Amino acid sequence: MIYLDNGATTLIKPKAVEQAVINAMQTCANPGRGGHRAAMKAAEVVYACRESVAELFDLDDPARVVFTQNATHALNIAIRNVLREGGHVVVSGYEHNSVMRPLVALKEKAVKFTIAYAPLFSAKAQIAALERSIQKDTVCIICNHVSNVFGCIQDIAAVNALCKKYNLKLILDLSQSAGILPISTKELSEAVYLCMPGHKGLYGPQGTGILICCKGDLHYSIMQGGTGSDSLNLHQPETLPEALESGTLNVPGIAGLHEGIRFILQKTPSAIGSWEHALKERFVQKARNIRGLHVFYGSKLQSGVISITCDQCTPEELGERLAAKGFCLRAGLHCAPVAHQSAGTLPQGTLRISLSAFNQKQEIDALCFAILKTIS
Amino acid sequence: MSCLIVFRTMTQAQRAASILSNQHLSVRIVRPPLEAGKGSCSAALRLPEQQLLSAKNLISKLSFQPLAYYQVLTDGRLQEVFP
Repeated sequence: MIYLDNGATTLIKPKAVEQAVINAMQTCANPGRGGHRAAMKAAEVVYACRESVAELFDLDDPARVVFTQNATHALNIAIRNVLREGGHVVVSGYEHNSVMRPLVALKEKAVKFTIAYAPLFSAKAQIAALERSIQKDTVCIICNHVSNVFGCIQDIAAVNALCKKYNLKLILDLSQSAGILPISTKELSEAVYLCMPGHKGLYGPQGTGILICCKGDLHYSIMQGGTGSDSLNLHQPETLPEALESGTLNVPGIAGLHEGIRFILQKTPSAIGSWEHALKERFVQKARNIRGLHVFYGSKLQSGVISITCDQCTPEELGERLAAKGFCLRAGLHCAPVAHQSAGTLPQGTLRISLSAFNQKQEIDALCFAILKTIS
Repeated sequence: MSCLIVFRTMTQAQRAASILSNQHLSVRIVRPPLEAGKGSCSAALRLPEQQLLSAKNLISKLSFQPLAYYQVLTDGRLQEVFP
């Protein structure tokens, strides 16, 4: 099997991740719910992961790291906080349904949104489209760092500057960039929330996600319950991270996530991103020569996420044929119809190749050969 | 003799412990009795009494403050200090 669906989840993890999950299942109880050794051990594991997240994203206070179930969960908390009083939002033309569906669901609460459509791999056009979409009642820009379909990298520094110019809040979806591109909270002055999964580029287990609360002292939970603190108070605590972490945490998942982040800190996101970029370039160089194959290519403005289509068959059919040969790819709309609207790839979508630090050059070569054989 | 510094949450206690440990103060996170947490679940740092003032100075620079500081008496009872 050759696994190239890392945009959905990384399947190959550092060995230490699996071991940490097992260790946590054997030794960790419920953090903050008791003073015994197993509860304290769990609390240590959770806090160590908060510290590693803070180190990776250049954040001073680990208490601003909130653990969620996934990026969608984090985005829902972020969106419902920023738009609690309603208002207008501008989103990029490449957003995932994890952003679009919460916004549509909030329409009845006086939330309006504008999609800033822009051509593929044109960061300047995207910024211009975002700026054109700002209205008098706009309160926020929501933008992914890297498109989950095409891998196009947004200029988040420019988006941050735009938010500063118009006094807007910024929510960033780092689902495809966390662990792969360098990101510093210190360079994102207008970012209120950063949202990301733990199980993709951070190499943690599925069921883990992160919400970084960059600014603000009052955060509303979309779920209330036990936090292991302030128990006499029947209202949800306001202190972070407990305000947004009701119920028992996924301690084994968080233990694994900590090891995944330690792996990234050791390798560095820059090195991982460069490796994936090199693999992408290798694929593009070889795939360009295959007749009938179309590669959506953005050079340095593209991460290790590549979409392809071909004249001979649909993306689904090509994906099925390659799956029969042992390649794990994803075909279709990738839960991001807005991105396909922007790129003009509706209704069939694309076949996506998404890379990780563990992919090798030989796997890219094997894929190119298999595509050639499949569609020739 | 030792002291307890009681925080509203485990994460606050952990954040404080990390900062104090970096300054070579020997702290241990413990679960304090309910009354120490003003009747609610909380988390505390236990440290030697002679380190209490240094700890208080460092903690005063944080964005959150403890619920209370206690001296642990020889019979195990807690006596609030800096009330």
